[in-house]
Amino acid sequence: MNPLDTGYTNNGFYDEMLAATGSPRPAYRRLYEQLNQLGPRELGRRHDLAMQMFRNHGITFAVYPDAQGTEKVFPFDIIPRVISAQTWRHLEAGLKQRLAALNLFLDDVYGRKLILKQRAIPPEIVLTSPQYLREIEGLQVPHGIHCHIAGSDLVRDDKGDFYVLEDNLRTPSGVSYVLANRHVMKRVLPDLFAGYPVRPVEGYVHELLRHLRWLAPKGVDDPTVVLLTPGINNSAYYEHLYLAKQMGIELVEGTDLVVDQDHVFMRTTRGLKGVDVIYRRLDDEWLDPIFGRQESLVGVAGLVNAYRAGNVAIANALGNGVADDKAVYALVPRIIRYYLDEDPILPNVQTYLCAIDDDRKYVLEHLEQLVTKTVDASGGYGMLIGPDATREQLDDFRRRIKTHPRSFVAQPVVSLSVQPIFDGGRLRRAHQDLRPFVLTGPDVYVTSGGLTRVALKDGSLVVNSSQGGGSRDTWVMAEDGGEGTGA
Amino acid sequence: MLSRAATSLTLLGRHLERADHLARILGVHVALSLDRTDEPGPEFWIRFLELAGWPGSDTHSRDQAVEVVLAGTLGPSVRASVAAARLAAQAVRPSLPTELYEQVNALHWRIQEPTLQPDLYPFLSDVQLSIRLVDGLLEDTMRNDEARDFVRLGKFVERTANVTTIVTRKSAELADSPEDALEWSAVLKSCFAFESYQSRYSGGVTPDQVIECLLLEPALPRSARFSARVAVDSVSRIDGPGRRSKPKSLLTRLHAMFVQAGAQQVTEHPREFEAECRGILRQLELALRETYFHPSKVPASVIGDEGRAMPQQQQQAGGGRP
Repeated sequence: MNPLDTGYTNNGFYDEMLAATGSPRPAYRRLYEQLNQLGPRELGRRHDLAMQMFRNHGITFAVYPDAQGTEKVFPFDIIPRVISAQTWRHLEAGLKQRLAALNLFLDDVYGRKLILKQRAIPPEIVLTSPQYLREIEGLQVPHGIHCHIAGSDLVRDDKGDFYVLEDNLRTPSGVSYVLANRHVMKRVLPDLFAGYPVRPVEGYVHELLRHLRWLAPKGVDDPTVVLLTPGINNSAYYEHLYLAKQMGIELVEGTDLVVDQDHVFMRTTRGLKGVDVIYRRLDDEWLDPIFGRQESLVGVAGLVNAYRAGNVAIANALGNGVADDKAVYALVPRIIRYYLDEDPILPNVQTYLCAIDDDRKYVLEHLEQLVTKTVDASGGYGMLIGPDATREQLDDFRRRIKTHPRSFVAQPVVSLSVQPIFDGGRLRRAHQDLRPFVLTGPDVYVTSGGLTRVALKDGSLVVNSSQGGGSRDTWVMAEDGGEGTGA
Repeated sequence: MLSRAATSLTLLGRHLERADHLARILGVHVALSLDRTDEPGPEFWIRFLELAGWPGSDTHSRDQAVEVVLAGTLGPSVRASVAAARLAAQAVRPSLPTELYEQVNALHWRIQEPTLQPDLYPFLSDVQLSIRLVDGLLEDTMRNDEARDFVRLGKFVERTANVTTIVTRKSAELADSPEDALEWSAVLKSCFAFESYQSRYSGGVTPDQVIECLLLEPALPRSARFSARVAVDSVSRIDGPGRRSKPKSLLTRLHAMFVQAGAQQVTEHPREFEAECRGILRQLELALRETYFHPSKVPASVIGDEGRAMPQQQQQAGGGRP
């Protein structure tokens, strides 16, 4: 028996590292040997070193609601995930296809609405989305692209097949952890990389800056690009400052910006300086107190008018939430077929729309077997996992579904794939997903791999970091053959 | 540079200098208390705490004083100053070299641990050396630009104030026993200037020479005059050629005080000298705010939100953690 896997079982789930026989899959064989050679004590020491690096580097988040301002390190597992070149080509093609269709969809629903007029999808599902912004109908966005930065969540089922679980088209976060995880892995466990042609991830920030600069208003050759953060107390603040620093752009808060005659400026020590492109990391409703929530102090008054006037570009565009609404998600395969005349490369998880009578009837009858989600919630909140729910929780959701059917969708429980994590000196099973990031602009760029999120709580299916999730490095192989094949 | 960034960079320099200063005077005064043949009474610690920025304290013992200056939360302490420096660094992290931020951050985490009395000196030494390392990174890795000048400005204005305070207060305090070499040596050590003094001045430690060394010496990096000069130079570079801003005028005035003063004047009127210096520093605070941190250069037509409070919950408004 290997020193690490005392008592390890995959319990019937698809295990990405260890096959049903308990032996490592081909892609992981060498990695598994190396981990066992290092042994529990040494791996524990390297894990502690990694956590110290994360803490010193400032990759921490504030714990809410903690008045003491407690900070925690973003949990990290030191065993990387391996994805073969062949698998990755499939995922990359699927993601590019999906984002191309979603961008066409956004341009259409805020423009001519052909897909709705032709009833290729039910218009009432789209137009009743709480994220649909009538105020921006007809607004021309630069190059007709609405979603410049996307993060789609992929899961593997019990057969190892990939599915799209949801899309994040507004302010997807997590890419800085992709870069930080690799940074730390290279320093803490460099020996593991031997023999694996791992694709680098560092190119992301250069691509992001290139895509943002491309959005500059006409006639601006050398645009001033800024990253707009809600502030230091935002739990993704580390990511905001990391990206701003790596791109060499200003990290601004709402109070740093002012709008004068539909032009945006930042307050500097030498007076006002014009701003051409804003990579915003706050939601639509807080962006401009004149346009959205009046009480917003983190936004910039007049910003949306400057955007309308074409004097500043904003990434992502406003109103994208309609395309990552969980009810609209169910329609994405039809959206892909409508705009691209292609079958989806990456399938959706079967989804029942409670707004549709037959679907709702099925959901109410099978609530105990389904995962029910609130359409505009995120972070693993507003969700009911039927098999784990109490009678009271089920009754509560039943009542809410009947009252507000449009607000709910349901899916079968996906047996998320597992991979061992290193925990307390041995291997333990944990579920995981994958969030690759896609940039759409002068061309389409997909991060090599993305953020693998791991449900660290024993038995949990929830990978969100706000609910006990962590992450691990994701290795996409650069070539077929050799180590890393077959995952 | 963003006005908010300029504010934070200045605060970074100021708080690190303050942490260094507090760590140093604490170590020196604890040692001084042990050098006394008679155990220092409550007055000693009350005066020390006043010097450290805790006026009116009712702390009467060494252990209490150490605890207050190390970790007090209602006034300046080593821990609070490093935490404030880290907060400022977080707000301007894109303007700082990664290694510099990491040093400040790592120091913050290290000094969160409780410190036992026997570990006091290694602890204080760690704080001071870490801040030296940050200084080195600042000088060696940061572009010689506005950002660096704002950090310098904060640091050297703070140092000017600290050195002036310690020298003038000790002058007043020791007026009746001017030849107390032990106390005056402690003043030099509190300003990291004892060895420089010894190599520069002969004839032992005397009040006039200590005052000359710490306030009026143009070439000693720890002197008030030198510090004021660096602050003037920093502001001049920030302003650029041909601009004479209010902060520059005030700092030039401050520097002139140290150029023109004599040791005897400080010995005879220490409180007046300190008050004049403090008066200029207070005006400087306002001038810095008006000129760089919140400049009123926004046209009347601007829709703005300057000066409004920023509730924490609103800062969660926008894609949190993945």
